[in-house]
Amino acid sequence: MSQTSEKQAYRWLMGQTAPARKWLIAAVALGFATGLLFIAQAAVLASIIQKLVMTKVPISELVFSFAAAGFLIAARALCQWGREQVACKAGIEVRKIIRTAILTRLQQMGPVTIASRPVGSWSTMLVEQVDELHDFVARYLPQMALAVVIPFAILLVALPLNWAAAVIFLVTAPLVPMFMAFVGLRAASANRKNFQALERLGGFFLDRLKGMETLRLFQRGQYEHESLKYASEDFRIKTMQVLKLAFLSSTILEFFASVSIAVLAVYLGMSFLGYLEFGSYGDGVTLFTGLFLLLLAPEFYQPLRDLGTHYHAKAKAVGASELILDFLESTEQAVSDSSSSNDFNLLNSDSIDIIADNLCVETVFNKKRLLSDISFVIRPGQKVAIIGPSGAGKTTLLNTLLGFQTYHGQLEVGGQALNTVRPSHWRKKMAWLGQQPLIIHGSLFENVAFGRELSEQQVMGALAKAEALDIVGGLPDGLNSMLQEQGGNLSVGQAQRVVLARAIAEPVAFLMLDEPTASLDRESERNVLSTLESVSKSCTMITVTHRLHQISEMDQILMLDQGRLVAAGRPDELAQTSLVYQSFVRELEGSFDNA
Amino acid sequence: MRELLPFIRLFPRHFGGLTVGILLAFATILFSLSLLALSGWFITATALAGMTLATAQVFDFFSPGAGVRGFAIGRTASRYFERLVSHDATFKLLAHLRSWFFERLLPLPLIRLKSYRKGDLLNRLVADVDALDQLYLRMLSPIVSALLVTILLPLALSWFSPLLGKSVFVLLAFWLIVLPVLFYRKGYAFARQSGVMTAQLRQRVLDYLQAMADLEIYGHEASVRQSILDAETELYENQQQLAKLDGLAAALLAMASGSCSLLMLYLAAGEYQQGMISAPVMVLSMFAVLAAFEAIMPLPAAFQFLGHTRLAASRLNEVLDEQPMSYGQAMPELVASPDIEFDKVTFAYDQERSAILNQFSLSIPSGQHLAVVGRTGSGKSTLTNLLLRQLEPDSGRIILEGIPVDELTESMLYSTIAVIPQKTHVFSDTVRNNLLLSRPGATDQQLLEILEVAGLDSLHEEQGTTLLGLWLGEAGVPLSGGEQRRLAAARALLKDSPVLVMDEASEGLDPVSEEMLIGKVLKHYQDRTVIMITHRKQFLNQMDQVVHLGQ
Repeated sequence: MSQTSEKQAYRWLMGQTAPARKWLIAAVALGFATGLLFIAQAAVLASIIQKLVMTKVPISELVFSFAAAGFLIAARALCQWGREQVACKAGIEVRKIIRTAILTRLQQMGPVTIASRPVGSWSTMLVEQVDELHDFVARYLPQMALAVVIPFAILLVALPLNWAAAVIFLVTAPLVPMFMAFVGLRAASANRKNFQALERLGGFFLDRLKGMETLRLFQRGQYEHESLKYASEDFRIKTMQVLKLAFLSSTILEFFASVSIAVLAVYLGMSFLGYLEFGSYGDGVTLFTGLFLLLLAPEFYQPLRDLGTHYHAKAKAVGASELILDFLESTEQAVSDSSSSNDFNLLNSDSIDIIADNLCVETVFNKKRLLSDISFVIRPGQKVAIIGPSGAGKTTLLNTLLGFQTYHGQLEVGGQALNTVRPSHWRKKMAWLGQQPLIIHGSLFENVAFGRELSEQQVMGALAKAEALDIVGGLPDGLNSMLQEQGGNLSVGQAQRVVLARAIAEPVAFLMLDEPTASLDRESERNVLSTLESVSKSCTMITVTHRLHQISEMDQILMLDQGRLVAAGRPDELAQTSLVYQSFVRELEGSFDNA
Repeated sequence: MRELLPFIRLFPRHFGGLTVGILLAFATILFSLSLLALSGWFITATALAGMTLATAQVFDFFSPGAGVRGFAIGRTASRYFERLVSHDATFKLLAHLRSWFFERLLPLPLIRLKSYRKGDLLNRLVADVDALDQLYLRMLSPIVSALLVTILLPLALSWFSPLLGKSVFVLLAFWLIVLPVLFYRKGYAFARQSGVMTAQLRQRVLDYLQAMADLEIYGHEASVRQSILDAETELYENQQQLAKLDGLAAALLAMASGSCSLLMLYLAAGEYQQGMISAPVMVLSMFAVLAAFEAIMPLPAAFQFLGHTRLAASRLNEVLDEQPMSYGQAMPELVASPDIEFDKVTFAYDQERSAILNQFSLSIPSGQHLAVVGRTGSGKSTLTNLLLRQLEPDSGRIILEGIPVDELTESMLYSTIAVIPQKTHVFSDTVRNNLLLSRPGATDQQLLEILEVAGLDSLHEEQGTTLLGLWLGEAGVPLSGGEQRRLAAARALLKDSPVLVMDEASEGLDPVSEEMLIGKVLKHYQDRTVIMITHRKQFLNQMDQVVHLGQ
C-alpha cells in the first residue's frame, strides 16, 4: 500500500525539522557542554587524588578543589535540565507544523475524501502518529550529533596527555562514524524486525478481539484462545531467533567499551611498573593522567550507547512519516482551493439556476468514473429528487453540487462555473441534511448555531420549526445542556431534528437533502418531512430519496444508474414514458420502507 | 497500587525466566562496577609501587590484571544474555497476558463486546495490555538491581572501612527513596492529565472530521479547527511541564552521582590520611560509588512509568470487572427443527423511551419459515437479538423447543442457531479458517462446494495461492460488502444448525444476486426453522408466516 520508501520518509522528516533548528542546536550545545563539564570534573577529581596520594597534601588544603568539583557538577546538572527543555520545544515545534499540514490537507480534500476511510484512521494519524515523531526529534537527533562531538572532544583531550590511550580509544572505536553506521544499521534492522513481529502479533490479537462476538456465536472462543497462544509462541520463537543475532551486533559496542577500560587499566599499570615505556611522550605516566583517562573511558562510549537506546524512536518515527508523507503527497485533488476563486454574486441570490452540461466526476486515485456525461437544468424554486439504485452516484452528484467534488464538463450556478466560485460563498446559500445526524461536542445552542452569530431567539425559533422544542424541555439545562459526542444522550430521531434546526436556522436558497429520513422511525420521519415541506416552499430543494410518496410530489426527477443519467423529467411524465423509471418504482413498491 | 495485583499474580508462572533476567541485569551492573573500581585500585596501586624499582618488581600485577579482563568479558556476556533472557520472558509474559485477557473478555455479555467494537476502545485496550507487559522489564528489574546494589556495595566497602560502608549506604538509600517518591507521584499526575488531554484532542479531531460537511456548509470550519489547535496547545503545555520533570530527573541524577562520588572521595581521603585505608582503596571507593549510580539511573523513568501502568491497569480492570453473562444448564436432545416462541416479551433500549416491543407474542412452529418485516426502527433486529441473547428482555420469555433460552447452556444455544448477521467480521486469516470456524471438521472439498454455492469462487483471481489459502481481512484481500454477505451465508450453510436467523441488510448486493443467494440459503434450510428479516416483498410468497412489526 505504501508508496513512500523508508529513505524518502527519512529525508522528508529531516526536512521537517528545519523550523526547530534553533532548539536542536541549543540541545546539542547543552549536551556538548555537559560532556565538556564532565571532562573538567574528571580532571579536578584526578588532580585531587594526585595531590592526596603523590604529594601528600592535607585534605584541608584541597577544599577549593572540592568546591570547584561541586560547582562543575551543579553546572552539569543545570545543562542536563536545560537540554530536556529545549529538546522538548524542538519536538513540539515539529509536531505542530506537521499536524497543521495534515489538517490543512484534510480540509482541502473535503468531506468526500475523508469519508473514504474510517474516521479512526485519520484521527490515529493526526493524534498518535504525529506524536510518534516527538522522541525522534527531541532525543534521537541531538544524540546523533553528540555521539560524534563528545568522543571527538575526549580524543582531543587524551591525545596530548598520552597518545597510547588515544590509540586505545581509536582502535576500540574504529572511526566513530563507521561504528555508528555499523551499529546503527544492525540495531535498526533488529529493532525493526522486533517491532514488526510485535505489531503483527498485536494485530492478530486485536482482530480476534474485534471478532469475539462472531467467535461466541460460532462457539469458537476457546479454540481461538488456543490459537492465540499458539501464534504468540510461534512469534516468540521466530523473533528470538532474529534477536539472538541482532543483540550480538549491539553487544559489540558494549564489548569495546568494557575492553577499552580493561586494556587502558592494564596499559597504565604496566607503564607505572616500568614494563611499558611508550605513549607518554617520554615523560612517564602520572597518576593524574591515569585516573583522568580512566574516568573518561566510559564517557567516551556513553553517547553511542545512548543513541542505541533511541533507535526505537527512530524506527517508529520513520514508520509514522511514511504514512503521513503518503497522505500529504497523495494525488487526491484539493476541492476547496480558494486562491483562484471569485466572489459569488450575491445580488441575484433568489433566482439561481443550476445548469449541468456533460458533467463528469471520477476518483482521482484510479480514474474510476463516478458520474458520466450528466446534463440537466434546475430552475429556482424547483423540487428535485435524485433517485436510483445504491451505488448509482446519487450522493456523488449531491456532493458535486455542494462543491465537495472536483469535476469535468460544465456546472454553472447562477451563470458562474461552480469551480471558480469561492466555496464558502456558494455554501452560504444552502442548508444540508444527511442520513446520519452529526452532533459535535458542545451545548445544544452551539450545535444549532454552529459558529454563526445567532441569538437565543433565533435558535429557539429554528428548534420550534424543526418540532424540536420537546428536546429542549427534556434536557437538564435547556439550550445550554451539553450534548454528548455522536448524540449519545439523544435518540437518532432527536439528533436529526437538532441538525434540522441547524439547517433551517437561517433562510437559504437551496435545501440539499441526502435521504434525511433513512435512519428514522415513522414518527420522527413525519416530523422532519413536514418541517422540510414548509421550508422548501421558499427555496430550491434537491433531495436524494427512496420514498415513493416524496418522489411523486417532485417537479423534476433525475434518475441515475451506474453514474449515468437514465431518466429525467416530471414524475407523472416518467411514469408514462420511461421503462427504467417504471421498473425502479416497482422495485421501491416491493420494499417495506415504502409501506 | 491494588489495581496492579491481578496482573502481578500472573508473574509467578514466569518466575524462572524473570528471575534469571533480573539476576543477569544485576550481574551486569556488578561487573561494570567491579571493572571500574578494580581499575581505579590497580592504577593507583601500580603508580605507588612504581615509585621504587624494588616495589615495582615484587608487585603482583597478574591477578588484578586478570580480574580487570574477566570483569570486562563478564559485563559484556551478562549484558548479552540478560537481553536475550529478559526479552524471551517478556514475550512469554505478553502471550500469557493476552490470552488471559482474551479468556476473561470472552464470557462478557455480547452487547458489551459489540459496544467495544465501536471507536478505538479495543485499540486502547490492546495498548494497555502491552503497557503491562513492560512492568517487568522497565520496573521490576531496575528496582531489584538498585536494591541489591544499595545493600551489597556498603557491605563490601565496610570490609575496608565501616565509616565508608555506612556512608555509602546512607547516600544510596537516600536516593533510592527520594527518586521513586518524587517521580512516582508527579509522573502519575502527568500521565493522568496527558491521558485526558489526548482524549480531548482526539475527540475534537473526530468531531471535526465527521462533521466536516456541516462545518463547511455553515462556515464553522475555522472555529472548530481552532478548538483542535487549542487542545493541541494545552497538550503541548502539559508535555513541556513533563519535560521539566524529565529535566529534573536528569539533573538530579547528575547531581546525585557527582556529589556522592565527590563526598565519598572526601570521606575516603580523611580515612586515608588517618591511615585507616590505603590510597588505592580510597580511589576504589570513589569509582565504586560513581559506577553504582548506573543502578539508580533507571529509577525515575521506572516510577514515572509506574503511573502510566497503573492507569492502564485500572482501565483494564474496569472491563474485566464486568459481570460475565450467565447461561443456564439445560442441554436437551438436539431436535432437527425446534419450535420457537416469544411469550409476552417487552423490551426498551432505555427507560426513558417507549418500549420497542411491548407484550410481544409470536409462535414459530417447527420447520416454519418466518419473515419479519417492518420499517427502520420497528424492532426487527431487536427480535433476533433477543433470541440470540445479545439483548435481554425486560419481561417475558423466549422459548426454544419448550426451554427458555436463558436456561440453555451457551454451547447448546449457539450450536442450535446459525446466524447471518447484518455485519460480518472477516478474520485476518485464510478463507479456509474463516469458514472452518462454523464447522471445524469440514474437508477442503466441502468448503469449495460451499464457496461455489455462496458465489465466492470468483475471489480466486490472485495467482500463487489456492482459493482456500487466500488471506482475507486487514492484512489480506479486503472483501466488498456483497462478498462479506456471501461469506456470512457460506458460514451459515456450513454450520447446518436446526435454526437459521438471517438479518438482511439492504446494502451490498444488487437485488438479483441477493435473491439468488437467499434462495439458495432458504432451500438449504428447507425443513428447518428460519427467521428472516427482510425489506423486500418478493421473498414473502416463499415464506410460511409473515410478521409486520411497528403497526
